[in-house]
Amino acid sequence: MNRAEYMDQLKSALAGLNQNDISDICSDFEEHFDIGLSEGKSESDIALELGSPKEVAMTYLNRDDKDDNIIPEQSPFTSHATTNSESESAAKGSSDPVNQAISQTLNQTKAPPKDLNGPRAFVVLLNLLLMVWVWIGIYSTLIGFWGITAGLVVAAIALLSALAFLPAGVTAAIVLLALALISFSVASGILNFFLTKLTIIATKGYIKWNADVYNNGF
Amino acid sequence: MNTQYKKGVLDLCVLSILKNGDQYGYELANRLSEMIQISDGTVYPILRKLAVDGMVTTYLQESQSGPPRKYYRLTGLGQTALIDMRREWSSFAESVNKIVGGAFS
Repeated sequence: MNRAEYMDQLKSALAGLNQNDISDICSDFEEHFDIGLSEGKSESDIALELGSPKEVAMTYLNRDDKDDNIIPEQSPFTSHATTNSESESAAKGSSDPVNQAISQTLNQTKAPPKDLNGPRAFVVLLNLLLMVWVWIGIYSTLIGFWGITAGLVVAAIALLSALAFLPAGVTAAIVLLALALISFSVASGILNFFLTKLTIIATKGYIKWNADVYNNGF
Repeated sequence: MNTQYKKGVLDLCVLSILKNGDQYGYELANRLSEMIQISDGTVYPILRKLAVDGMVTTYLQESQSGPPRKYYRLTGLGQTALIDMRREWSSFAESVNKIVGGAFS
């Protein structure tokens, strides 16, 4: 198959799409042929490598159908049309999100590579100046809470073991107090367990956020 | 090779190649078809879909030989998506390898 035949078949297989989409797609394939020829390949070799035009067209049709279902028809007033040709296509009432998105991306000229220095410096400074201390504070508090729980348990055990040395009259009161201490320790233990879990989740999330900002910026 | 296999991961492959630098369609198609058995024509619908979804942007650049070429560049959105897709892929591949390797025999 030569270039003209290939393009003809592609065009007719794309017939379901609107004219703008078809010419966009065809220009991609014309470019492919141009470059291939400039590298010394024959038209038929390039056509062979590209694969059957009908199958290629099917892929476009499926994808574009899907997009049409997701993106509702745009009125000319909500479309992002900026140039005359785009406004015209929108005014014709053709719902054409595909073409609009492509035109928008085409309109963007080569942007400088994303500058990561700012976000990286931000992450490093934020951690050194502030977050290190915040996290030390959070974890110290957590350790303190666990200390309270342990203290309550120790106090209850001490009280119970001192029973033998205390006058018989206060036994009931001491046992009650010890029970109260144990209940408090259990309650605070449960609370601490969930606080610890929460802190670990927060720490992981925070580390992940740091990595994201560091690697990809904001 | 089973074409159903490839369909799902070609987006990931295209985004991964673009992460290493902007490419024009022809070059990208050639690189991909060197590694995976696909027809060059498969790449263009994928690129178009990625552009519509905002994963890549395009721009035209003159070349020494022939007409200007349409280059594709990964966007911030594309980078984020790539990180997610890569994570998904490696855990999926790991599981499949385990099963294929006889984890349940």
